[in-house]
Amino acid sequence: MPPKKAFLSVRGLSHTYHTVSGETKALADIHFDLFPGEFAAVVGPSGCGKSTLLDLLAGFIPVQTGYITYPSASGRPSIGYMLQKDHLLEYRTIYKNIILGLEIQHLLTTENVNYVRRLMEQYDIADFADAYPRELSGGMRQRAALIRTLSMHPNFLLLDEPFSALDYQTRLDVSGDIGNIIRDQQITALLVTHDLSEAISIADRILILGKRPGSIRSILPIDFETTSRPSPQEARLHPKFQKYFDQIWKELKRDEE
Amino acid sequence: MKHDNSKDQQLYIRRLEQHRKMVLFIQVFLLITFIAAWEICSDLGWINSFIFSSPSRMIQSGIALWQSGNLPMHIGITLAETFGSFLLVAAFTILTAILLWWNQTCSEILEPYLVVLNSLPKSAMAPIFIVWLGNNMKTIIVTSISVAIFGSILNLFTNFRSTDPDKIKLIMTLHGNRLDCLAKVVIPMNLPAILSILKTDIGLCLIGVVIGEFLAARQGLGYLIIYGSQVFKMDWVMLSIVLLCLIAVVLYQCIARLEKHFL
Repeated sequence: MPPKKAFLSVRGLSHTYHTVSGETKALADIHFDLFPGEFAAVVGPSGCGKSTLLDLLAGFIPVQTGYITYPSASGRPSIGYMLQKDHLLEYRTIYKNIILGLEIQHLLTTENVNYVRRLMEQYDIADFADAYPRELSGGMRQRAALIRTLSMHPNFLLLDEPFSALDYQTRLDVSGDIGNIIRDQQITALLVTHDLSEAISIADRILILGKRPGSIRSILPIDFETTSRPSPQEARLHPKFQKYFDQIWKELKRDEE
Repeated sequence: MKHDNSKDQQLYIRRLEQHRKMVLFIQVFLLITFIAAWEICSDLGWINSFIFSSPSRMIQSGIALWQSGNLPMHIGITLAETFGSFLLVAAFTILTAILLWWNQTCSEILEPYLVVLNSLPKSAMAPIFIVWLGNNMKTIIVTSISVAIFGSILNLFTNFRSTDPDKIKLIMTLHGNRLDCLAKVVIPMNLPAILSILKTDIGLCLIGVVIGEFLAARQGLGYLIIYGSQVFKMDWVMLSIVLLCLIAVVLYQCIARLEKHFL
């Protein structure tokens, strides 16, 4: 098989924060590729610059050194971003929350509205279109937040610990749902998390970042050798799951020593 | 739903209701006692009704002033000045708070000035306004604005600045700009704060108008108070004060209604 052209290519990316009390090197010489349709996860100890990496990719902060390129796309792809909490606005109905992005971009065309309606049907929150966020469960809120992101037709999705605010039970369900939705839509995704099990159970490949300044310790492909991707619950029960877990754990431990 | 409630719940509701009624009763009772005592004391000559006035004298002079058309004119002028300055304060406050939120350097530069102007006793500036603007309504409105505006700008700006930064980031993740942050997040999230600031502002504007009328007016309730005290018409003075109380309550309630409507 000829090597696929990378979707995203990150080369020699470093980042330093400046404050009055001094400077902090957050990322050092980050190097990796993402392939089209791939779902990758970034794990690492807290403060290893995971969020900085996302902010750089999203363009919220300017790149200081290194390159971020998208070889397979013509120009910058449309980037979606999911935050740690759903951040649905309490004074807007679920539907109004979901179309917030389209409203901001002045893209409320019939076509886009129909697309949003279809997604809401498909992911079971159409009945709550006129409800306010406080009336929904955590999992449903997170799905609404995902549809809000998807409404903008992103082809690259950044997820910043989007399940961390949910309780364990909901977390398993929602991470499975959202993983499936993202695969359904064939979106390339990069998930940042500190939960190793979560990363192994939904990602195709795991980037392990070391302590500050964050640099890539190793990249671990996840393959359960099944015909279709197992659900997160199934993956957690798979014999290879523990093997991957130990491998990442050792990698992170080694870094501490 | 209601008849499903348990006996204890019913009892609880009844107790709450009784308590509320008792509070209201005592409030009304205190007011009536005060008015009656005032009237009786002046009728029996225990206090000098020429100096202290009395409820009946206030009512009589009120009717006389009303029939001559003077009282409606004074009330109208004071109300118009209050509303005028309130609208200007509301507009300036919101625009300035937006400007300060928009441009951080600008807010850093202006903040110490606003803090100093806010703590300055504004009545001290009224004489300057008379010299600058003349003995007229302009002075009154400017005085009134100066009483309310600085505090309300600082207050609203502080609220704007403490808007959840993650909500701002949300707008950025949806590729919005600063105007979108303002329109979709900062203003709607701070609507309760805006209304509560307006509620204080209307009271402050009334205070400012009365200060202004003390110094530079030929009409208005503040003028009536000063004029009444100079010619020893204490009935007018007391009447004006009672009317100002009523106006303050009515204005406050107007904004409170608006608040209920919006939230």
